[in-house]
Amino acid sequence: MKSTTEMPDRIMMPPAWKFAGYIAVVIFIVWSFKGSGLSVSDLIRGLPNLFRLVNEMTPPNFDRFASISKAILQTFQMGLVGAVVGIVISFFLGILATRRNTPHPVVFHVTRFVIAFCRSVPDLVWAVIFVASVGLGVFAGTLTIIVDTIGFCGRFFAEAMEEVDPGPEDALKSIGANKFFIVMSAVVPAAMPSFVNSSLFALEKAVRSSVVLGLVGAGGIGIELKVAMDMFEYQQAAAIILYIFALVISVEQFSIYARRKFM
Amino acid sequence: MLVQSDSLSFAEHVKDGSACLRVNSLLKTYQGRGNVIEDVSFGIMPGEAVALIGGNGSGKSTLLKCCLRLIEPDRGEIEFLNQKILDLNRAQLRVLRSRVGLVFQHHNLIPRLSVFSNVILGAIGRKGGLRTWRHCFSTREIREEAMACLEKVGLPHLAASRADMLSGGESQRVAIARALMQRPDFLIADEPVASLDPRVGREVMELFMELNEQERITFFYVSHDLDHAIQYSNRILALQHGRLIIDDRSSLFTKGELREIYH
Ligand SMILES: Nc1ncnc2c1ncn2[C@@H]1O[C@H](COP(=O)(O)OP(=O)(O)OP(=O)(O)O)[C@@H](O)[C@H]1O
Ligand SMILES: [Mg+2]
Repeated sequence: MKSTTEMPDRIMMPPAWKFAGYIAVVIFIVWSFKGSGLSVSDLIRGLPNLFRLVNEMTPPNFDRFASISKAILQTFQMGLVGAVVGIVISFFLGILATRRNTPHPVVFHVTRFVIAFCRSVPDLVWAVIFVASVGLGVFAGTLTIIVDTIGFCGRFFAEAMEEVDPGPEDALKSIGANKFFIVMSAVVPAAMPSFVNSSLFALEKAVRSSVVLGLVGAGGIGIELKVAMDMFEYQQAAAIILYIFALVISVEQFSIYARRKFM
Repeated sequence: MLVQSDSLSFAEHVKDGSACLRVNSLLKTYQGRGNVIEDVSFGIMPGEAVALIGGNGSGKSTLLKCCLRLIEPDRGEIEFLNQKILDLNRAQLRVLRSRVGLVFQHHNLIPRLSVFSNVILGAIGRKGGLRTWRHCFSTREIREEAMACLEKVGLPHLAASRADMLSGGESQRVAIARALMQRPDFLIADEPVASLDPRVGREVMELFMELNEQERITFFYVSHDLDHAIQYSNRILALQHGRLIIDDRSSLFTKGELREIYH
């Protein structure tokens, strides 16, 4: 039997203004290739340098095993503490940044803005700012990672809490629970898988960023790498890169394991 | 069909002030839906068991939630356990809610928590959030009472199961146990036996009747089962398109007469 209402057309022609928009986007992307300096000939010309560098890096030099191990441990600690503190702060900010749980709409918008601001400023910029205010060293790095984690987790925690089914909250409300314990007892358990997931990503991100923060003097292994490169100690630099690789991979593996364990 | 309500006895309830739930000219409108509840007035006496019937979308759940201000009515008066609930502040409202058990149509158990923890949360209104947050923080008395409530609904063996792993019927009964944990003076239930098989459904209705008769808990519930509505109540209310069209003693009705309201 044929339906009386018309079937949608197979192909829908977009209106002219939309069509023009698509064309403009494509043109801009093509033009951007030029702006990005992407060049095959430069890459080919640079390849020998890259090979020479790799050649000079082998074999890696593990002479400074003790001091580099110490630096890598410190880097990890900076990432870990920054992530943990950031996650705890994000949890509370996240509550304030959910429409249903916020005590006041003004608080909601302010916390949303703070979180977005933390996120939109890149970590290296935060690091430069903190180095300028609290001085060179690990503390500046830890602060950077805290702020960076807030930008990341604050957003995802809030989204996770927005998405949970409101039914259980209603149930506790109907029993006479106050707002704080409704969040703690109904929202948190429901959002927990998402919290864990985001937190593990935050930890991975924090460790990765703790590695580079040293480049701007905010503590950690990065400074060792920079010094080694600047002094043309390429074999030592190679060792440091391997260390970094091992650290990042271990944290990622732990993260995968923990995620599987918890979900 | 409009059955003349037993207007004399209703007027008595309202006048002598002995009704424990009194609703007067209630109106609730949803944007774009018109009036979901329109000019509804009724009273429920202490110790009564009252069945609320009506077609899908006739406003039953909305009416029940308005009684506890889980949904804010647009107009009208509600007096519950001698308090004008539309005038209460938040703290007073919490106290009132803690005295009224509400079993939701969709149960609204807290996912990922155990059945035991869910039942214990029934005490969150009278014992506070800390004592009920995790069952390990609860007093022995609370824990034992929770087990007793689970026994009443026949599910003590599921205490350690996760609430989101239960069958529909089991989670329904856990929700009832949680409401009992409130030690309510008044019990509201939205289709409490909808997801139960006929035998367990009858058992649960018998349990409600027992609580109603022995502990004098006033009982107000929604049912689509007309046999239940007649058998397990003193009085029947019927909603049709948000208007109350029946308010009279159950013994006056046959199933056939009640069926008319669905047309
Ligand atoms: N939050 C809401 N926003 C808009 N409309 C709503 C909302 N909640 C309920 N409604 C509408 O109000 C009407 C009454 O809903 P209600 O849940 O009270 O019906 P009900 O009598 O409990 O039905 P059922 O027997 O299916 O449970 C329905 O038409 C529903 O779609
Ligand atoms: Mg309903």
